[in-house]
Amino acid sequence: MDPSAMNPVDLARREMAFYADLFNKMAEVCFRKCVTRYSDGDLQTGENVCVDRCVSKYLSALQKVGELLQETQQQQTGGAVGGLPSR
Amino acid sequence: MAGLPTGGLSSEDEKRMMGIMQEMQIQDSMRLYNELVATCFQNCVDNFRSSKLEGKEEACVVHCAQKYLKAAARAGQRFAEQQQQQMMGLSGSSGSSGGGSK
Repeated sequence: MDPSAMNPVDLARREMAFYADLFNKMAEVCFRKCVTRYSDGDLQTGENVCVDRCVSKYLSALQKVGELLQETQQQQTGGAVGGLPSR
Repeated sequence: MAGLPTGGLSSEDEKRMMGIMQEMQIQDSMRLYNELVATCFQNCVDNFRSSKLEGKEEACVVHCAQKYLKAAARAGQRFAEQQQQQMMGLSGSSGSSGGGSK
């Protein structure tokens, strides 16, 4: 990788973008899984518990997928998971 | 990302282009990561009786991710083939010689 891609500002920016995206996706997934009734605007106890557990499971899944991606990258020497068309 | 038209750029512009492509590739990898987790979690995890992933859920997530990557790689191959065919079709038109068949 070009060392100029490793400057701290770019790294920080990418990391922030990543976490923002992660959070948004996680929030949406857990909302869809846990909250299905809209008779009123407050979360019920069960829904709160569900969201808590959903976040916990989601972060575990994040870790597992991260490990898989790292393995895959190591097999394709030296690089980002390239060759995929952007969507 | 082979096959993109970078011919005709000054070496300065080409350098910039390489930088941009690298950045896009990095961002795409990160986006892919998050996309994988969201999609596979959505497909594989349905109960929240506990806050830990069950064995079968974890296996499902990993398999889903593996398949997703393979399907995307295959789609990428087909995409590149189509692109190439298109480009060859454009350059080999109007009676020019030497345009062999694949």
